Amino acid sequence: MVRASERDSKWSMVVDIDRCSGCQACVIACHAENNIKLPDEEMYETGRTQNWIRIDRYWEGEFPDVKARFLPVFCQHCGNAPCEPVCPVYATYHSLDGLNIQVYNRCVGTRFCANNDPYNVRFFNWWEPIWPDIMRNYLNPDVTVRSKGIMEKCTMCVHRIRRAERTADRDGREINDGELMPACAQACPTGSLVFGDLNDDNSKVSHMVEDERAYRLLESLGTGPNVVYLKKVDPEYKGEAVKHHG
Amino acid sequence: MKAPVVASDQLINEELLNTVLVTNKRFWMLAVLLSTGVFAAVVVVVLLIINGLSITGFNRPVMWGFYITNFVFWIGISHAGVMISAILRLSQAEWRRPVTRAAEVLTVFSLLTAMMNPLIHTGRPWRTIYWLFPYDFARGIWPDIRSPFVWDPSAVFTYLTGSTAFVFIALVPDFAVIRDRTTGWRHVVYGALALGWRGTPRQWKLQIVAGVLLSAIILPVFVSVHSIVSWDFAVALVPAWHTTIFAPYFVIGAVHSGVSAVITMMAAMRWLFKWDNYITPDHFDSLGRLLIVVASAWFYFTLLELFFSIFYVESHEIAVWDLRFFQWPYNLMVIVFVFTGYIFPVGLWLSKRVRRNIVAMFWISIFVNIAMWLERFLIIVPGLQYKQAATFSWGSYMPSAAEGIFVLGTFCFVGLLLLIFSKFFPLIPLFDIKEGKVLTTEIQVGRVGVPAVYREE
Amino acid sequence: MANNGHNGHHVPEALGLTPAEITADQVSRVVSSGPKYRTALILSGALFALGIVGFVIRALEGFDDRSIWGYYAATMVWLLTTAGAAPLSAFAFRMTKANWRKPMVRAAEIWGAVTIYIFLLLIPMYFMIPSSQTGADSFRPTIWFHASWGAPHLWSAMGMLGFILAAACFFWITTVPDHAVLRDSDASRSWNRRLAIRWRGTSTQWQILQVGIILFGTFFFMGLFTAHFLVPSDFALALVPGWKDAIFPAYHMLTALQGGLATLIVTMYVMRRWGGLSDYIKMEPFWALTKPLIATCFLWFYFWWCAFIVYWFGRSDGEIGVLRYIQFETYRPFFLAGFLLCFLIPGILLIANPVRKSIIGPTIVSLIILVGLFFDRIRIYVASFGVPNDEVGHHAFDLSHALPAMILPDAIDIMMIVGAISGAVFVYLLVTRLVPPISMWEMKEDVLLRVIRPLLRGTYTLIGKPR
Repeated sequence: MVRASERDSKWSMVVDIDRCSGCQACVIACHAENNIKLPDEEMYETGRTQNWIRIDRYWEGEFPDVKARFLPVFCQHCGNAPCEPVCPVYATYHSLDGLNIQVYNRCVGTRFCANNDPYNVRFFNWWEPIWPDIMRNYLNPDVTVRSKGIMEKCTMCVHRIRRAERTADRDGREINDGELMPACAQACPTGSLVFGDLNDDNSKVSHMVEDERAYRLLESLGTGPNVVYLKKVDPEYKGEAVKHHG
Repeated sequence: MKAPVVASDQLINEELLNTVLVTNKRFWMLAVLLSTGVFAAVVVVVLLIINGLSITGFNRPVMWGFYITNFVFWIGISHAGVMISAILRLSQAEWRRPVTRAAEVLTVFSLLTAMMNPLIHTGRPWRTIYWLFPYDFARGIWPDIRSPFVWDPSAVFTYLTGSTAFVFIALVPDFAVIRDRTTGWRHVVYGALALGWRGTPRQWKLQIVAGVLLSAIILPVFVSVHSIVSWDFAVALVPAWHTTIFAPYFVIGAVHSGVSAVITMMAAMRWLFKWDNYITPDHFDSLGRLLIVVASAWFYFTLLELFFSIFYVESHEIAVWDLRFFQWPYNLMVIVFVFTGYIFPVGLWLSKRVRRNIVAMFWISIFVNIAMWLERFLIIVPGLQYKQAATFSWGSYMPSAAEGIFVLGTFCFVGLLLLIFSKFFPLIPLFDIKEGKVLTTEIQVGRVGVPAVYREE
Repeated sequence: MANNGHNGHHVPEALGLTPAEITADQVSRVVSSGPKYRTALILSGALFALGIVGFVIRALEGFDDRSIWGYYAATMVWLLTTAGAAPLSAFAFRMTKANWRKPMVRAAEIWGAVTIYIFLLLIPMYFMIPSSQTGADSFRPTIWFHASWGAPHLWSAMGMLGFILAAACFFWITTVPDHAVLRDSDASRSWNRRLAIRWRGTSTQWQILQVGIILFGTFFFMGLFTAHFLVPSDFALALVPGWKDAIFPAYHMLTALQGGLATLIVTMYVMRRWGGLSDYIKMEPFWALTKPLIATCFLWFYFWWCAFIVYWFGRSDGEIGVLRYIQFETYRPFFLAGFLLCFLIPGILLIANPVRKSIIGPTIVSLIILVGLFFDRIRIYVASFGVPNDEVGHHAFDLSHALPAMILPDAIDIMMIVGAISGAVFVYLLVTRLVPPISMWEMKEDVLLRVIRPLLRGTYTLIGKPR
C-alpha cells in the first residue's frame, strides 16, 4: 500500500489489563469478523482451536486467597518479528504501517513461523474449513476463507484499515483517531482495547503508551512488540505472582 | 592389521559380484517385507494429502513433531558415508576399504528419504517443492535467503549431488568389471556407465585424483549440512533450541548415528551375502574404537548443551529441562536415550571382545540409533511444548498412527533401496579390495612378523 | 596403485642412525649443554624476573578491581591454550599409531611439565573473580549455580589441579624407559633411578607402559576438556551479563588444539635450528602436523560462526550487547586480528602444498596463529574482566545499557605478558636438563619398523604397524 507510506501511520493497540474483565467478547467478535473456523469438540481436544485473540487466564495467589488474572493476547505485530525472517517464501512480512502481514496464498505450511513466535498467536489450518450451512451466509466478504495447510493470525483487521484509508483518500482528509477499530476493540465493553496511530501525536494510544504502567510482552527477547500493555492496578498486590494455569 | 583378504583377484570378482549375478532366498524375503512397509507409508501419505494434517498429532504450540524428527534423523544417518569414505580416505586408513561403498550409498539413500519428510510435513508437498526453487520470476519474489529453510534445501541438495558423484567415481572401475562379464543389454548399460574405462595408468590416476578432490571438497559440505539443519532450530527463539552449541552437536551426533548405521548395515550384508572373508571382525573393531571417540565427543556436547541451557537459571529454560528430565513420558525417553546412546555402547565398546563380536555390534548399533532418534525427538518437542514463560499456551503432543507408520515406512524405504542397489551394483568396491591386498604385507622385526603397509597414514 | 610420491604425498625417509648412536647422542645432551642453551636460559630467566616484578607492582594495587588484571588473565589463558595443549599431539598420534610422531613426541610432552607453572599463574586469578554467593538479590550466573560453598574457587581449582596432575603423570610415564637408559649410563643421577621405577624392559613392563600411556593420556585429554570448560566459564562467560554461549567451551577447546599444534611446530623448529636435532626432526612431522592444523583453522571459523549466527538471528538485548562488546564495537580491532591471524591468513597459506611441504612454512604459519590466538584471548578475557561487578547485579541480563570502554595494556601489563611467557620458556628449558629432548625408546622403535622395499616399479618405505 503506497498510501500507507504517504500517511506514515504506525497502527498499534494498547491493552489496559486493569480494565479487562475476561468476558471474551473480543474473541467472539474476532471470530465473526475474520471468518475464523468455529471451534468444535475435536479441535479443543487436539489443541487446535483458532482464536486470533485469546484471553490468557492466570491464577494468582494460593487458595482461598486466589485471583483470576486476564491477559488478552493476540499477534503483537513486532517491529523485529521473529516469525518473519524464518519464512522461506516471504509469506509473512512487515508492512510500512507497522503491521505483520500474512499472505495466505504464498504460505506453504512449514509452520516455522509458529515455532519461532514466542506469543503462540499463529494458527495453522489443520482441516479444510467447513461451516454449518446456516452459517455460510454470515461469512465476511472482506476476509479470505483460509483453506487447509495455511498459517493465519491476527491482522489487526487490516481490511478495516484499508477501507478507512480509501474512505479518507476519497474525502481528501486524514484518518481521524477513533474512526476505525478492529472488531475486538469495537466489541470490548470495558474499553480495555484501544486502537490507533502511534505516529499521530494526538491519538489516544500515543498518550496511553506514555503511561508509567506501560510494558510490552516478553520484551527482553528483543522482538519490539507493537502492542503495548498497561499493568494491572492492584492495591492488594503482594509481590511476586504465583502463576499456574488449569 | 592383518590382510583381510587372502583370495585371488579372480575369487574377489566372483564373490563380490555374487549379489549382482545371483539372488538368494533371504533377499526375496527381505524385499517382500520392506515393500510392505513402504506400501503402508504410501497409503498414509495419500490419506494425509486428502485429509490434510488433521490426521497427525500436531497442534498449537507443537507444530513440528515426528516428521521433522525423522528428517533430522535421516540427515544424521547420511553423515555416515562421508565420514567413513572421505575422512578415512584422506587419512589413508587401511580398514576403510570394504566399508566405503556401502556407507556412501547409505548416504545417498538416506538423504533422499530425509528430504521426503519435510515435504510430507507441510501437508501440501507440491507447493513445498515449488518454493525450493526461485519461482516467482514475474513478480520478482524470490525465496527469502534469511530463512534457514532456504539454506537447508541448498545444503542438502549440494550434499546429495556431491555424494552421488562420490559414489559414481568409485563405481567406475567396478562397472568396467561387470561390463566385461555380462552380455546383451546389461553389457551395453554397464558399458555406458563405465565411461570407457580400460584401467590405463592415466585413468587410474584421474580416478584417484577425483576421489581425493571430492573427499576434500565434500568435507565442508558434510559439516555444513547438519549445521544448517541444526540452525532450523538454533536460530529460533524457542527455549532449549536457541543455543550456540547446536551445529557441532548435531554434526557429531550425526556421525555417531551414521557410523552406527554402517555397523548395522555391514552386519546385515555379512548375513545376507555371506561376505565373511571381506567384512571381518577387524572392521567392527576399528569402527567400534572410532565410535568410542565420536560418542564421547557427542556426549560432551550434550553436557555443554545442558549446562548452558540452565546457566542463567531462567524459568522458561528450566521448565523445558524439567519437562524433559522429570515428566512422563520424557523421563523414560531420557533414561533410554542416555543409556542406549552412550553409557551401554561405550561401556561395551571398551571391551575388545564385544567390538569383535558381530552379533553384539549389530544390536548395539541398533540401540544407538534408537537413542539418536529419541534424542532428536527430545530436542524438538519439549521445547515447543513449553515455549516461553506464558504458561497458558503450554501444550502437549501425541503422535498419531499416521506419523508412526510413515516413520517406519522410511526405514523400510531405505532398506529396500539398498537391496535394489545391491542387485545392480557391487556393494563392496572390488578395485579397492584388490589395492589393499597389494599394499599390505609383513616385515620381520627380530623374531616376530609385523604387519606393514606401503604408505604412511 | 602404489601412489606414494605420485599424488603429492610426502615420501618418508629412513633415519640414518642406529639405536646405539641414538642413545649415545641423547644421553650426552642431558649431561652437557651448549652456549646457546645457556644464553636462552639466562635471557628467559631475566625476563621472567622482570615479569615477577611487574606482578608484584600490580599486586600492590590489589585484586579487587578486576579490570587491571585483564592482560594478566589473557596471557595466562593464552599459555593454557598453547603450551598447555601441546602434549595432546603426543597422545593423539600415539593412539592413531602414526609413525611420524616419534621424533616429536618428547618435544610435546615436556610442555606437559610446564602446565604446573601455568597452574601457578592461575592461582592469583581466583582472587579476582567474585564468588557465586554475592548476596540473594544479585545472583551471579555461573556453571556452579547455587553451590552452597566454595564456588567457583574451590571446585574450579580442584578441576584444574586434576588437569595438571594428569599432564605431569603423562609426561612422567612416557619418559620411564629413557630414565632407565640414563640410570644405566654414566650420566646417572638420583632422580633417574627414582623415576625409572625399576624399569628392566621386560615384556610385561612394556605392556604396562602402553596401558599407562593410554590411561594417563586419556586423563590428560579429559583434563584438557575440563580445563577449557572451567576457565572460560568462570573467567569469561560468568563475568559478562547476557553471555550465554554453550559452544564457547568447545570453541575454547578448539583453539587449544590449534594452539597446541602451533606451539609444537614452533618448538620443533627451534629444536632443529638451534637445538642441533636436525638429524631427528625432519620434514615428516611438520608435513603431517599441518593437516590437523589446517583443519583447526577452518574449524575456528566454523565454531565462531555457529555462535555468531545464533546470536545475530536471536537478536535479544543480551545477545546483541555481547556481539557489540566483544566482536563488533568495543574490541573490534582485537577480534579482527584474531579472525585474520587464526583463520583467514593461516587457512589460505596452508592450502598451498609448497607451504606445507617445507619446514619454515608451517613454522611461520604457526607463529601467525600464536599471535592471533593472543589477540583472541585479549578480546575474550580483557573484555570479560573489564565488565564491572555492579552491572551484573543491576541489569542482570544484558549489555544493552552501556558498553564498558576498551582497556589497552600499560607498561606493567607488558612486563607481565613478557615475563609470563618467558617464564614458560624458562621452565621448558630447565626440564630439558632432566630428560633427553628426543624420546629414545620411540626413535629406536622407528629404526626397527622402517624398511625400504621395492614394489612394482619403484622402491617405497614400508612401515610396520604392530597390533
